[in-house]
Amino acid sequence: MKDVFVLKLNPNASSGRSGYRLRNLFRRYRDDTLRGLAVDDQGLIYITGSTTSSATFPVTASALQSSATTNVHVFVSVIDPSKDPTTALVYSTYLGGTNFEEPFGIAISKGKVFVAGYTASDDFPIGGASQLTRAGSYERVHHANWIPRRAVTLR
Amino acid sequence: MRLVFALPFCLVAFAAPPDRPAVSKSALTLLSRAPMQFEKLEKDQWIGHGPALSIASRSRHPDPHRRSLRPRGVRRRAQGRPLRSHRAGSPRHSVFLRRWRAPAARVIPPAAVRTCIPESTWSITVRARTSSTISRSRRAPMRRASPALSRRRRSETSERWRTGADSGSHQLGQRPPVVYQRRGAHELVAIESRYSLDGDGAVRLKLGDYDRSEKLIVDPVIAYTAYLAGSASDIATACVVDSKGFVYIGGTTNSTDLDWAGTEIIIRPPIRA
Repeated sequence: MKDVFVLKLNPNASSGRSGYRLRNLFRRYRDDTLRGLAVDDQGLIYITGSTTSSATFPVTASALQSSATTNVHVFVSVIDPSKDPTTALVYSTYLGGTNFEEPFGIAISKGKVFVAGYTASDDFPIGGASQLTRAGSYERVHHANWIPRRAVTLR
Repeated sequence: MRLVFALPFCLVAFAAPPDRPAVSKSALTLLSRAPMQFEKLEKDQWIGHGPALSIASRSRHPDPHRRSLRPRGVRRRAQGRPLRSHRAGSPRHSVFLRRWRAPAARVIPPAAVRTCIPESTWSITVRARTSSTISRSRRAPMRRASPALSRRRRSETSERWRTGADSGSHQLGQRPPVVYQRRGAHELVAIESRYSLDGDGAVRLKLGDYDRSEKLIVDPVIAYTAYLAGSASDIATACVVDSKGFVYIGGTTNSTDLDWAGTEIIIRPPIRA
């Protein structure tokens, strides 16, 4: 029963005697793990992680992938901290195939989001990838410390 | 400089950072990295690992092993031999702290420990990436820490790195590192620290008296600390700082009462004087 949390901390604006303002930006998911966080120039927060809560995970209408199997899958969410915490989740999607996935990091460059991780799914959604088939098995990941990686452009 | 070497201080050689425009870097290390730890390597040599901002990996003194400063019983090093360079990882740097006086292991009585929070800052001027000069911008005298001082110090956290308006040059100011030692399980003893400017442009760190038998912790980046915790286990796995100084923390929690919406979190200075 693990949840994801995201905080925005403003160390510059102190209010009161010695306190600092913290905002809880994100309603917590269930059985989720956060693996990466990035912030773009507009202040939007991009997070990625793994989730098993396929029924309760919040997915937005414009999601790249709005449903997933019961395995562990990648999620990618965008949070607008300027909005109310209940509407701050401006984008959220699954990322995965029938098998399981795990992300390792997220980055933003020139308006594009890059997510890196490993997948054990043969039907992982790929677009314009240089490697179109999965090259290793999950066991190989663990025994040989070899990780097949994919990168997907979301925006 | 003569005066500096005559004082019973320990010195660290700092090099001027050539071009370090990052406002966010220092704040990023604030929460995501461990403080600088100094370990005793040899009889007269200490090594520190940590997120220092500007580091030289060897002593800048023309003759750091001259006889008058060498402790008794310590062999003379070969002239010009660089100190060993340790790099724990690519984002980290190493600092050498060379003890110039003979080691005198003594325990300072609590009444004699000065608990000062240094307020002096140095500004480093970088001109068109050709040469680096360091000028003293503001150097307030050492003062005893008071609640008012602590508040002002925290409010100046965002001004640790300032960008000047001069054409082709940037002014970077860095607060002296927090230096402390542990006494017992829960007590921290603050040690005086301030920068001094060497003749060749190297910035050195001067420390006050400290207990030489205990580990010395020099932390150049920590500005404040806070406990962000619920009732169960909480793990922060990501930390990002944007250009405005906002700190974004993401992680995973098992706590059900983790709700910081609009709450005031008391952020403590790292060492309470």
